Amino acid sequence: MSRLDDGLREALRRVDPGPDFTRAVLERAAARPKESWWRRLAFGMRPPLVRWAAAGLVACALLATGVEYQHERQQRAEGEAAKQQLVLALRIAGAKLHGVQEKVLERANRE
Amino acid sequence: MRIAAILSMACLPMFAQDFRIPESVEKLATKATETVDVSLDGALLHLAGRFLSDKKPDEAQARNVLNGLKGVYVRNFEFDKEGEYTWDDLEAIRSQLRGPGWSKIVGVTSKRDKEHTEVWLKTEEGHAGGIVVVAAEPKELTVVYINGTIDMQKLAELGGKFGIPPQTFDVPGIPPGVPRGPSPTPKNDAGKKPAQD
Repeated sequence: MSRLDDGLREALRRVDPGPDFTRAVLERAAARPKESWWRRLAFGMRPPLVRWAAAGLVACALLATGVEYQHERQQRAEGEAAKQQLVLALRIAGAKLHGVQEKVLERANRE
Repeated sequence: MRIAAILSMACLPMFAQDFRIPESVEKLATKATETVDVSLDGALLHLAGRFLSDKKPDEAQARNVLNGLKGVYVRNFEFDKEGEYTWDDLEAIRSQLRGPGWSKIVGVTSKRDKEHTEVWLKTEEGHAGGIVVVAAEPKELTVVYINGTIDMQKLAELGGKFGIPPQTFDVPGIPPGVPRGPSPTPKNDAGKKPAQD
């Protein structure tokens, strides 16, 4: 038991690191690279309120984008439908006027 | 005061569109086996124009025609049997076109085919401000109304595109390009027989 005591005492004996130890530690701390911005941001967002606010903003942005996309899709569908109707109207008008033109020319040729 | 305001608002559509497809003609849709109903007012025409591509020559030309148009209205009815519409239905159309500014430029009747077609043109300040085509066949009736400033030259250039027969819109009696000069005296169609075959 006394040998164990002696061994522990020896291992845990206070040892003076020397005068350069403090200086070396401070130099290494000063030379340590700065944290990246996203690490700092992530650290800053650790409080729950900030996290929820950020999530809310992202959700609003996504919702607005979705609404805008839907609106544009609907307008596009309406526009295409209007365009098809216009082409149909011009086709019908053209066919009837062409018929008139043919009849008039036919009679003109007969006379 | 309130009654006057309501009455004036009720009359507003009458002034905004000087030709209206009569209700009696609209009701023919219930008898028709096939109906084409196109009503494009200014806003819808503008919307349609936005989707006509400048990169496609056909659509770019159609877009040119749209400039100045206020509305395009088409009613086409196909019936199973003859006699589904009457001369009175056509008269309801013609009575509107006897007003100032409108003149019948073409009237073609075929007794053999029992067909009658009329083309009416509205002139405003020396240019075409509207066109109405009424084509009556035994089992088909078509009414086309194009409202607004019409450049007949640009309209003629649409012939051969979108399934439109070529050399169409070259309406006999209308000189190429925009007609100039004062509005012609409207013809009184009352009592006049249509052109005979």
